[in-house]
Amino acid sequence: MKQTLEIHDLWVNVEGIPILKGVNLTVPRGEVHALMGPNGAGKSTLGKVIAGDPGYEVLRGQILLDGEDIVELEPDERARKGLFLAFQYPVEVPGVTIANFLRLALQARRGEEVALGEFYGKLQRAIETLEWDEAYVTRYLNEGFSGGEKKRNEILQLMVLEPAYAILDETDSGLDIDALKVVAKGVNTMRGPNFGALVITHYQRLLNYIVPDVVHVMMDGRIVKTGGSELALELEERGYDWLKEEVGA
Amino acid sequence: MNETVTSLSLEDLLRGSERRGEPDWLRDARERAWQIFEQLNWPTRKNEAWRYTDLDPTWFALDLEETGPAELRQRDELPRAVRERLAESDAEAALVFANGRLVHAALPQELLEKGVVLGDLHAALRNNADQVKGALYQAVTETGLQGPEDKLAALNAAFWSYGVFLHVPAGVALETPVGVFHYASEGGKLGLSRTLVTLGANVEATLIEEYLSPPLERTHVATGEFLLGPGARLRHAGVQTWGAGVRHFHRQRALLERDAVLNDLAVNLGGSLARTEVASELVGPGADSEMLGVYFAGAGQHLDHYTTQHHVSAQARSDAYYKGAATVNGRVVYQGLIQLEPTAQKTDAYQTNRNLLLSREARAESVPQLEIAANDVRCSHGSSTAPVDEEQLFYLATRGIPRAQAQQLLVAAFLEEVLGRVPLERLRRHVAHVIEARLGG
Amino acid sequence: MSEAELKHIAEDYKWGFADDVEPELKLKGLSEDVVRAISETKGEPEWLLEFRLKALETYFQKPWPTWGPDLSELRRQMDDFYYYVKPPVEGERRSWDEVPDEIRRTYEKLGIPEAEQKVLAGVGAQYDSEMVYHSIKEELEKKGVIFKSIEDGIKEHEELFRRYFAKVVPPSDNKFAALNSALFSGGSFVYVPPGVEVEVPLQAYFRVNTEGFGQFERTLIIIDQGAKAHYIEGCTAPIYTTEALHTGVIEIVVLEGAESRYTTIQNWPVNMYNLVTQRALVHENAYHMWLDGNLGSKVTMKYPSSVLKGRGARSEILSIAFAGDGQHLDTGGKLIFAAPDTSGSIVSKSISKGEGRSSYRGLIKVPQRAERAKVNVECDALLINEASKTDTYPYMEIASESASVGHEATVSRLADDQIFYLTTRGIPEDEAAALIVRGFIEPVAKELPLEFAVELNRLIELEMEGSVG
Repeated sequence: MKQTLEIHDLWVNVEGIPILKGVNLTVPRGEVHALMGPNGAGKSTLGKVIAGDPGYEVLRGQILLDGEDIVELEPDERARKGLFLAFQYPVEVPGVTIANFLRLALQARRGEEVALGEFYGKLQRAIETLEWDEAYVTRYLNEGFSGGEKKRNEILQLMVLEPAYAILDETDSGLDIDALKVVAKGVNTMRGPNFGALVITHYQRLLNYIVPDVVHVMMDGRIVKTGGSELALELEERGYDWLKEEVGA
Repeated sequence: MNETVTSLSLEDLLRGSERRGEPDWLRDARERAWQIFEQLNWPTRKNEAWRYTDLDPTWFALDLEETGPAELRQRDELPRAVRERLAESDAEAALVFANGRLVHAALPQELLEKGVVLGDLHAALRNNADQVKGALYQAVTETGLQGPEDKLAALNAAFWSYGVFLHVPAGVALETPVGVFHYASEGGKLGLSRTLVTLGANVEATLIEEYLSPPLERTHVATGEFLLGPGARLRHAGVQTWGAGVRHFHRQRALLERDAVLNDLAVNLGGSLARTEVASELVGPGADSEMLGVYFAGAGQHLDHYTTQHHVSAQARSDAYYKGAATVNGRVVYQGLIQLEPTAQKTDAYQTNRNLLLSREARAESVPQLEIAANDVRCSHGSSTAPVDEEQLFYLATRGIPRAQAQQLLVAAFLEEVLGRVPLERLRRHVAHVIEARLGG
Repeated sequence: MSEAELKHIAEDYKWGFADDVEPELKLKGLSEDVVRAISETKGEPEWLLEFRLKALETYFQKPWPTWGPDLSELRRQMDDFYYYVKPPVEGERRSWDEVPDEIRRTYEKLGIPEAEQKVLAGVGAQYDSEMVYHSIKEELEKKGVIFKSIEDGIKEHEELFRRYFAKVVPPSDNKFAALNSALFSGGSFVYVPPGVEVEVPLQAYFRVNTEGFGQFERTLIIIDQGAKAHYIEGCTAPIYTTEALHTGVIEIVVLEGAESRYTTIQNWPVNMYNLVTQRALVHENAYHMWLDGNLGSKVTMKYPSSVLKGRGARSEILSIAFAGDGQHLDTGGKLIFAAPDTSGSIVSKSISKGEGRSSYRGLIKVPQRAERAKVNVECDALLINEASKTDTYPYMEIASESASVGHEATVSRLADDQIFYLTTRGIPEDEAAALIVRGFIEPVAKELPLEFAVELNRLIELEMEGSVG
């Protein structure tokens, strides 16, 4: 079985306007890729489309998860096959506690009951790694959370659900440096041969803490350049304009 | 046109009163109520308060459920449904009525020592005559002239056959809730119950009333009268989980004196047609009334709710918060009224109704109303009806939770927002379980 | 009403003067004969007389409303009103010079000819039962825009008239719609051809002069596909000790993709019962706005409504009510969603002063077929004095699973701390109060044409004088 998340020639419209115009990208397990690019390049759209947001219209192309095309699958089916999206703006769900929700999600993913002991063990470890307060898991999902708390909660879910592939959509936005370090620590504990990640970010800052194996640059709905982690530094230094000229975007 | 219930007559009324050995004043009050009952028409959709619920007079043309002397049994001899509830209830003191007859009474010695009276209303008429006489028909009157009573209230006032009396003397705090279980297993009956609660000054008490039965054809008309003395605090929960086929009409009114606090919860889950009217009269400054409601209407169910927050005194507070959902062809109705008299300056009053529609044939009607005759007040209300939030569904789906399950989770969460305000752990769990079972089915 | 009360009210009401005009014809009492006489005077076709007589029957059959403001006094006087008063003007005039001096001077005092010059596309002026003046800018007339009295509409455009007349508001709609259908006289007939945009407003002005009179104007507006228009009505009357009645019916048809707006600035004196039915039928992707300003009258019952009939239709209802002593303004709006993807909103701002009472009454109806309908209602009430009253009666009936319906209402009083804050900045108390009231209605008032906004501000300042402290 192929152990990659592959995007092939993906074209996507939003309300009739083309946003993704032939994206090609491969993230193998065991690697962390960064997806950078200026505002409006289509980075977040790509993340949502991979997760299966019904608000986007896929015109053509494939999204292959370990070799299987998931374009026609519902978002929950994709998640159960090992996909995880950390939202840029996590949704508030009043009345549903984090603990209750995460156990349901874990059970849905495994297709079987998860013993309370095992579940709380996992939860406990994740909370410790993220230097969080245990009291949070009895709170309602994201309700009244600060921006930083919401992001931390996304990484908590990532750690408990242990997906094969994670897409982190601007997880660094709105975080102070301490929170950023903690979030990075959570992601880094996930790293290993069975985990691949696509880290979407506008800035290089996060990549100091989650060092990517590969960096892709997206402009105007396409991947225009791919390189090593040094590419992120170069972009930080020189901005995106030189690249625009280079690729004629 | 004054249609009457064919099976009832003044002769029946007088005979019943005599057989039960009721005092003259009660017989006279029943007779007055009978006269009002005869004069009034059945409410129709032309009555603003009944705009969304059809009432069929034949529902009341059933055999009146007659009460008799208590037939007390041990807990393990009670119907299984009741035993299960007793085992899971927050209540320690408990009364169980089966088909209008008291069949079980658990009264901790501690309560009796504190001077608490809890029991069958008929027994109280003999043993606590003065207390009952001074309180009965005070909140929900027998004449319909003082208050906004209607034919249903008159029916209950004239013919109520069994009832509950809870009296807590001034200064006494009950540590654990009192439970009253109304159980029915006989079909084709008209049940008429009356709950009378009188709390002295600075009392603290909790009363949980549950209505349960297997599926059967039956009509129940319940009346609740709560008299809260100065500084008294009453938490009341009415949990209607009748079986399919039951029609339930509930009218409850609380009188709140100075600094009295009522925390009410109305749960409407069972029956085919249920109409729950909950009212608070804020007659003393500092009084505070919270009215919570949770309902879920499934196939063939029509659940109607009417709340009244009547501010007579200045400096009182009230809040009504009703949330519910309808699925299949279920239908939910909420009407509410905040009424501020010119004397009700410095009032805080709020009213919120939120509905979820879960399927194509489901319906919701919502009429939150304000009548304000004082200016130095804070008053607001809100209502919304909407489907389950698509963004929330997507978020849960990205975590692997299937749509149907995510929807259930969100409906439960929606209702949890109201239930979460009630600090009765086991009751909350029970209600959540019933809702969960309904959502799953 | 006592003389003293009257005097007090007259001081605040600028338009309370009466003209010495001898009417040509006055018909008193409510009967078949009166209806026949009205029809005959107008030389109407037979079908219309039959329509009127049937409507009168409907009126008698329908019960009086059991909800809303107290109408018992009105009910007692129903036989004593003049139901038709014909001013001494033969046919409507297209030039102010042809209007009799006394009547023309009245409209001049009201500023109508001046506004016509400056900011209006056309003006219709009704005096008691008849339109005495009706005129539209030539370039609009050339484009096929029709703006006439209802009588000329019937005479000159009978086919078009009959296609829409009484289709939006049938006589059976309510008791007062039936009454209007039996007695109607005056009002406008408006037609805007496809694609024609009437950029500046058309205005009708209703003036009552006769004591003990009932005015029953009827307006039919058709905005054809892709066209655009704004119609404004204003009204005043002298103050008499006896009650008066104004019962209008307004029907509007907004065809595919058209845009229309109807603005009312109701400033009747406080002896007027103002019972009006206004409804718009909004077709596919069309838009209609009701802007309803109710300042005057003793009792108003008026709930502009929009039926969103075609997919994508939209409607907004903006409402301002200002109820002072002796006034009960029962206003609001109705939105009926009869097609998918329709949307609407109601914003209501009411102010109650002294012993005034303002009530919001609304209906939101979303049947099953109105998929994805969206509606938001916001009602805010401001209470100035201790005895001021307000009510909110919103009815929401939802049978569409995918619809989203929201309603929020607040009640607040003129806040002492706000007034104090403003007075510490040197603003006198009355002005501070007026400022706060203006701020309160700003979200609705900003939609008014400038001249009306200025007039509204002036009225509020007048109303707020001596109201606090």
